[in-house]
Amino acid sequence: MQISNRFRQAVITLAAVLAVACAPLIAGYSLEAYRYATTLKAETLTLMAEADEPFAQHAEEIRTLRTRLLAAQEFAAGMPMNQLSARQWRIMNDPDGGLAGEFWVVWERQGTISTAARAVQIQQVSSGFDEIICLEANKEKNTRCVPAQ
Amino acid sequence: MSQFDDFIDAVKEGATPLVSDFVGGLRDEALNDITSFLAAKARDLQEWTALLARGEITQLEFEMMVKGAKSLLELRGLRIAGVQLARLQRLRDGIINLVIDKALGTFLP
Repeated sequence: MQISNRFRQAVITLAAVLAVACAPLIAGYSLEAYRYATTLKAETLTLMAEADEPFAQHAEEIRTLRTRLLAAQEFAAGMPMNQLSARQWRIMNDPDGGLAGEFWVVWERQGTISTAARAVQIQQVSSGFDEIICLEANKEKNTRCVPAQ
Repeated sequence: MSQFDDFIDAVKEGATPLVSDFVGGLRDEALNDITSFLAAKARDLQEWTALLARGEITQLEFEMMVKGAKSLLELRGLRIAGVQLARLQRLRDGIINLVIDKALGTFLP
């Protein structure tokens, strides 16, 4: 009887330890999040490349893309244990963060973006998206996906 | 040797490749990543200052570029932290599965 009780206690303890140990540390891989990031990277860089033309000429496209970028941010924020990815999206979309979010603001304020600034920012925003994509890919398996620079 | 010793040995043997995959070079990898990034951005900053001086970019653009570099560093840090958490989770899950498999294999006929 005593052995049986001790066995039961051991099983309960093991079950409790496993239950705690199994709580996720980070959100699992999401194919939808991965697709959001890869598609939006392509769309964003394509539109940025046209910033030698007046903002007004692309205002509608920019408004639509900004909405889609914000939707990706909200999607990431809505997933449990996904704070790191959600923060990455907030940085990408921050109107004062020097990446995609600010690019639209400067384009609107100046009317166009200079050739040199456009080239630099396309490179930086591309690298930013690579960081978002790389984190998502690594949730599934170890993946070397971002060059050291 | 008792059944329990067999079980512990089996777990130790199975855990070695899991742990070495996680620990091996992880700290160095993260440090190299950030160090090389900072070196590249230091070179960029010099070029951007020259572009501004030559009037090829505006002040507003220069500020955006510098803020972008800072944000990229933050994105990189978040990615490194996330990758390590994901690896840790895989290590933990691997060890739990290993313990359960070995326990079933050792104690059940």
